[in-house]
Amino acid sequence: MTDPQITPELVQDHNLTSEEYARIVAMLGRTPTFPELGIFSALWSEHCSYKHSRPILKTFPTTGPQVVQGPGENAGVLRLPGGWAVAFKIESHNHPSAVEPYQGAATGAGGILRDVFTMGARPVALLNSLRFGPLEEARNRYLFAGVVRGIGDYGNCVGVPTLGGEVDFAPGYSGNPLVNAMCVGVLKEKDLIKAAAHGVGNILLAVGSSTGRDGIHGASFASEELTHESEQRRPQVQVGDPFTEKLLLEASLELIASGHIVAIQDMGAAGLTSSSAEMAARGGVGVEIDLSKVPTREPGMTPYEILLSESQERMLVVAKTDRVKEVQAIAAKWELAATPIGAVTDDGMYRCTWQGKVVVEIPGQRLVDDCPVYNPEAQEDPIVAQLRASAPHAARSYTPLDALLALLDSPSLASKKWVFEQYDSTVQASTVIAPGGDAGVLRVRHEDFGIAVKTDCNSRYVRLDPYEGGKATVAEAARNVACTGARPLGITDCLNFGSPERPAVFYQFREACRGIADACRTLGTPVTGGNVSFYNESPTGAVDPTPVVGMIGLLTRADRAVPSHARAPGDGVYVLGETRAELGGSAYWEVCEEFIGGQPPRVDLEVEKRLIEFLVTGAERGLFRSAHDCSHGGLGVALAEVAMGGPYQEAGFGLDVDLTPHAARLTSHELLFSESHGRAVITCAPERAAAVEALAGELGVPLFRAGTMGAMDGAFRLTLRDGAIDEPVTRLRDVYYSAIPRRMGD
Amino acid sequence: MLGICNGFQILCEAGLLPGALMRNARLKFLSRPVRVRVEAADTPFTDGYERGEELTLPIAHGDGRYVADTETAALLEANGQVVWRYVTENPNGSLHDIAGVCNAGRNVVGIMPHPERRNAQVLGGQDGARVFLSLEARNATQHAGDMRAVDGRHLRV
Repeated sequence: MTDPQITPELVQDHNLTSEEYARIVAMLGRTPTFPELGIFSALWSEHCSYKHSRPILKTFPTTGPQVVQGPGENAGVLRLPGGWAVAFKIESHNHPSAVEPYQGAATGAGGILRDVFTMGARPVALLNSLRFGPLEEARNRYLFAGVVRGIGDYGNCVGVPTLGGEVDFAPGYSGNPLVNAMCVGVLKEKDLIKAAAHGVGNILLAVGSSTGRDGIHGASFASEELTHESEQRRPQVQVGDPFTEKLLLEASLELIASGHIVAIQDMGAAGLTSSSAEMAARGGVGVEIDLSKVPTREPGMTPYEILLSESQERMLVVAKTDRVKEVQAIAAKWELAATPIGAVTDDGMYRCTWQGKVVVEIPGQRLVDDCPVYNPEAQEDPIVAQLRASAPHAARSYTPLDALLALLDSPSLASKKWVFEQYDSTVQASTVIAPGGDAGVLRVRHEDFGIAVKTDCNSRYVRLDPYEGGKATVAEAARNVACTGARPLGITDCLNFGSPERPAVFYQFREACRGIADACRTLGTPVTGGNVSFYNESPTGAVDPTPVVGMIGLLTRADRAVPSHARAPGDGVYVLGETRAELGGSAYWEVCEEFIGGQPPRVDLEVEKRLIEFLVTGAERGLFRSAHDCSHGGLGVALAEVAMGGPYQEAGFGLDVDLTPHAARLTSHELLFSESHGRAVITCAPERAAAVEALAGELGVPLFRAGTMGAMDGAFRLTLRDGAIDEPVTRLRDVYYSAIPRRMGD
Repeated sequence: MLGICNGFQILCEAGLLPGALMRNARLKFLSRPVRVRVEAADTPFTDGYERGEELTLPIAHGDGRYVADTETAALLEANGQVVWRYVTENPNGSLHDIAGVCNAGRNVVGIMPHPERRNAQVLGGQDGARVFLSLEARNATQHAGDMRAVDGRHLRV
């Protein structure tokens, strides 16, 4: 087969601008070959090069005493007690999931697992963050069901528990769902391995599955807007094999422990091309690959296809010169092939040969580093500024109870039991707090400490006020892990936005990142890596800006982990923090007034810091029976969630709370549904009340004794200045737990 | 021999246990805690329990619906080969609410729920622990007469 001639059309088809192409020609001093064009197209795609985001990402705080590995590796790594460390990373798989939800989501989980175990860490938890359009549309239900099944099946088969996540629904995601997958692994810090090729003469081996034609140009696909033709991309979506993944996991960990290899990297986005080029650039060396040696699945594959295939469950390993046989023996033990395909060279060139002929020859460092960097124009959309300054026209006549029931029935707020019941959350037998609480918690065997994990983002806030929204995302994730008793340690982020070439989108991106950076700085949670996903656009427009944060927290004692739900009648109920008239961007306005607008609640980071200190210290001293973040849906929904109990509790608890003295100037609806930050609801045994109150006083956290928990199956009673709610908790439970199954026809 | 979840499926397919495990009645993977009752305390894996004791154990399976022909089912019931039964709710549509069975010789046992995932207080409970401690105690007694206190009581062997 002869390669096509390089024409301006072909260059355009590869998503390269004429300026970028000119830069390539200048770098090479000649016209690129067809495989070279493909390589540049992949590595200079937004997905691989971060060409629109790099200058902004550099503003994130990335250091701290707990940071073992910051951004730039396959995953970030934070220090834990006892010589342990935690490796974690989040990544998007939005575009593949939009056209093939099951495989798109499954391979998203597969890819992020490989990023973690190539650091030498054993994966111990998966999380996700999902966005869909409203469930009233059949297409959205199809995508939602397919994605959940894909994540569930892959995690179950590979034997890694799915410990948590979040799902949200909004019209902006119809046609462009978001599927972000996060993996958390643990390792001994001394066993950490980095993906930098070194040692001239060392051998490159392809380990795992053979290379097929699936997923060619996935990275470029992820860097363009979704169109009506995107459905035709379906054959480009990779197909996952979790059982091979499991073998690859065990083989990789054994190879790393063996000392026979110097580097290992997943052949993920842009496959062999990105893994080999990035490992070479990190190590400051060249590589030479004989493409005819790469094991292929189909006959007649060209160098271009071999370089750009995104076939799943493949690793690129750099073995010490004299250890190829040992590497092959370990791979064979796990029933995997390990084929030498090239070597590390000293001339810094990225070179590929095909049947004895050089088909690719590019200066390696420049291939990775010389991608143009853009500083796009940023300008807020005036419509957003207008929306922020507005309020719903006429308040409708929802009673407090009707409003609460409407919120509990809204899929964004309702129980996600339908989702997490399809995920294996207990495999590995280390799950301390399963999905359904504020954050997932797991133990590390033979150690006292525990790890809390959570993904978070409220895109409504980010859309209306990207800076405050960015801050809120980090603050809420930190609050969530703190509610379990864990001290927030650090984050990974997955920044999902529309096209950065549009000033309104780039403004959202820049401001949201500024908010994330400020919050991380104040809360002491550095950014250790992540992923940018631009071009999340469909014919109906860009998605809501969705910068998802994956937070890691450390509990000094796993057995002191605090659940979200009340556990005993007679316990005291406390509201921490201040409630202000902040209905902007609230679920109440959205659900009951059909209005998404107003100024979202502002985050006072110093207040958040004190609240976190209170939650962590109180948990360490064993003061709380439960602790729950108060955010989306406000105090009304938070109190209801505390009372309704966990998903597998047979009944909820009654609750008797008098809110008349709390934030006395607010109307009932403001009091119940404002989403002011810096708040939480805790319950404690009566004999702990004095200690709880003293701790709040000591740390300067506003605390309001709201009432007491009632009997099992009792009445949920809130006294307000101009009204009341008095309803059996069973009714709230019925609404909350049936909202999603009812819409999914279960 | 003990088979848990996939292990139970393998024991059935290998012919070491009667019956088979089919797709869950609701056709979805299901991961949640369930209640089971110990129906037989005379196997090596259950003799640390009392017959009739109720336990909370997690399940995590897509193919956990136990089926057997009428004759086999009747035989299982008559011989006391049903070792665990779902109570309160049958999560997957299993025949006779069966969660676990043993062979006629009572030395091969299969169970769909996961006792090993609930064997410590930090994991939310230790209802599953005695499945393994039963065996350990039996072994220990055979070899060294070493009795262990578990959950504040001595194991009956």
